[in-house]
Amino acid sequence: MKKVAIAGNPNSGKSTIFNNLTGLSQKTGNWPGVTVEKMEGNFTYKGEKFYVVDLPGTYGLSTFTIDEKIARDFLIKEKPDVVVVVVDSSNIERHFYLVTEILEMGHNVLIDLNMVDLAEEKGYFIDEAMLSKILKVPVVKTIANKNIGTEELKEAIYEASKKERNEALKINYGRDIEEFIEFLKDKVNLPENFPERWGYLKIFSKDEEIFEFVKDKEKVDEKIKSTVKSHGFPDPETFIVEKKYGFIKGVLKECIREERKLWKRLEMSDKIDKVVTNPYVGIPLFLIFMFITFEIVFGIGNPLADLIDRFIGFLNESLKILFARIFPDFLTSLLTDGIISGVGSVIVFLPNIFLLFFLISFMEDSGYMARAAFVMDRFMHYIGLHGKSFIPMILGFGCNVPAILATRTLESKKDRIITIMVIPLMSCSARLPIYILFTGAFFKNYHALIVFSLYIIGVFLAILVSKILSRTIFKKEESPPLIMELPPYRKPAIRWSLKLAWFRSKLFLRKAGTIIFSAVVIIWLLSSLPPGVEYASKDTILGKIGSFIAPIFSPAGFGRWEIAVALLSGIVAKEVVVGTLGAIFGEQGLISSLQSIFTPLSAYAFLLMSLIYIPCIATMTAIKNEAGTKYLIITILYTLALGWILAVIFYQTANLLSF
Amino acid sequence: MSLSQVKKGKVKIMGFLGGKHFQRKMFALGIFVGDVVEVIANNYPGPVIIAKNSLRIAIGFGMATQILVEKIP
Repeated sequence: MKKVAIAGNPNSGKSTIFNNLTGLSQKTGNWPGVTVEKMEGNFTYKGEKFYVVDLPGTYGLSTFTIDEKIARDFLIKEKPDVVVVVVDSSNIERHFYLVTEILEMGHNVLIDLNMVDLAEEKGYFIDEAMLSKILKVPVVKTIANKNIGTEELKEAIYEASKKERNEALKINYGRDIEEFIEFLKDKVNLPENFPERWGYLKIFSKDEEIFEFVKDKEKVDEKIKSTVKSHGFPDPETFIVEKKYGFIKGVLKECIREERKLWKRLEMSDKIDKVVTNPYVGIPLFLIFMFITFEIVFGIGNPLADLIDRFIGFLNESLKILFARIFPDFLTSLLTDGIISGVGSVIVFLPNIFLLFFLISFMEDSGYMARAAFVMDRFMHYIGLHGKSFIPMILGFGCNVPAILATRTLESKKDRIITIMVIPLMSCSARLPIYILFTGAFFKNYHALIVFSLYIIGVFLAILVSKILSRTIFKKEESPPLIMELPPYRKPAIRWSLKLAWFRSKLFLRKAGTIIFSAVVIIWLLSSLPPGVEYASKDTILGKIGSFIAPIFSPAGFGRWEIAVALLSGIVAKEVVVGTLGAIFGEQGLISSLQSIFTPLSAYAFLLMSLIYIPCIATMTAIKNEAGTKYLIITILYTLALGWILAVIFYQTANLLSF
Repeated sequence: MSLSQVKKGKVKIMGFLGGKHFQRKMFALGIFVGDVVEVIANNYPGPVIIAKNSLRIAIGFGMATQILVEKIP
């Protein structure tokens, strides 16, 4: 099987190229040791099988970001048979920086001039035959979001994979650099099969990792300094970068015909930006867009979710009757109460998740997402996060699971993990049934105020925790500087957004399904064993655990086994708390039973606990997949501790003040 | 003067005060000392949007204060 790597700048459309090539054969995983998504897939062309890896989007191959390091390590160590470098033809000069870097490594490069339609719209016409002749590599034109040129690209990959490895591109950096390379040759121990000239140039640029291979560091360092100084550059990197851009400009001049006709699109884009990024207009506008997103995700999603919920309920009841005739009781209960309702509780989220993914890719594609991040940046920065964190946090009000998945748009690990860890504090819609039950029983006159206070407390805690996290665990990691490219606005390709949304939803279902399945079985076992006892009663194992831990909650005013069991079962899904209370006290006398157990003060303490304690299983699964087990454990522990402490503090002080 | 102080119009970039990472990121985006860029929008004290040819880059306020520029009449 031949190995193909897809490289390219962010926004070059390379993920779309990857999708066009591999179709549905994709797998996602993480790059070893980091939380960056790794996409791999394969395709067959003319009987030859190709394994394709989508490298992270990068501007160059330094070790500046984790993405660049991943891409560079892959290219050096894995030695792909073909490297497809995807280029945004409408931004060709800048995108060619990466092209030349990879050419200098000496790979079998294939240049994919993507988005040629945009380039032509802007007035750039590229002569690909000339480009191919100058750089001595094949060049293909594509329009990925319309799936144009995919077959030609496959053909070119097929042809390129049969070729010998390209010789490394030699850019003329001037006599001094050649001299420096000669000088360096006996002072460096590059690993075997390392791209030599590229490595020497990196040493000249003082690349931290590759400079380690130098034997006589001081001498080399001095030589670099004197070379740079004699040319009047501030540092060696500027020297190399400028020379490289000079080379790129020269090459492109030969191959591009420019017609300055359609700058209108940019003019339009600039005009929109003047409004959208103005803080007085931009922030309200952003909130309106968020509100609309919310309305769609939950307004359209919830009725659909209800339908699925009802269907699962119906299926559950019908199968119960059917199974009761065939299977023994415990098996029927496991299959229906356990597996079908449990797994069903995840499938129910599907409409919301799908809509959310769709809207996110829609906003990303249109170019708005980049602006939104900028608008919110100042506020988010104040609480120790990146502007882009705002969107996932807002989404957390609906459901924490898609919110956590939405953190994938964040680039830095620090921002991603902190955001993931505070999202459980955003009060999701599944917690609302608990609030409604308790406010109905205890705070009839202040219903809205009480519920609103819980949401606000959640937000306040999220801000506090992210501030603490960014100053403790992640103190050393800096947020990346706030510089980003604003692609011109464009009409999003709806079909593509739909496809991407469906693909991401499927991955979520598959991942969540397996873990939730086992969790549900465990909870079910605990609440039905030992044999012969009533489901979810005091005599079950769950009930016994409940009795055992109940005293912990005494200082918060609700140290009873029923309540402990309800909280435990709420880990499966928060709304289950209500269901469990219903099962224990009976639907009829629920309110009066609660009123006999709780005082208004302990009821509010319980609501605080319900808001904060341990995220539900679906959320935990998402955290584990996105951030890793370590941060999942930290999140579980801190939410549990925070919830308990706040409930206790509230109950004790309120009692002390005795109101 | 710094880029953050420019409301509108064309400027020439004279230097970057920020750290190496910052400078690298500007390089990666194709912005160099000596380049002439146009300020498209400046939401002082918020982000600044600059244009170089068909490229649009938004720069956070903090970073914009680190870019030295000279106004071009």
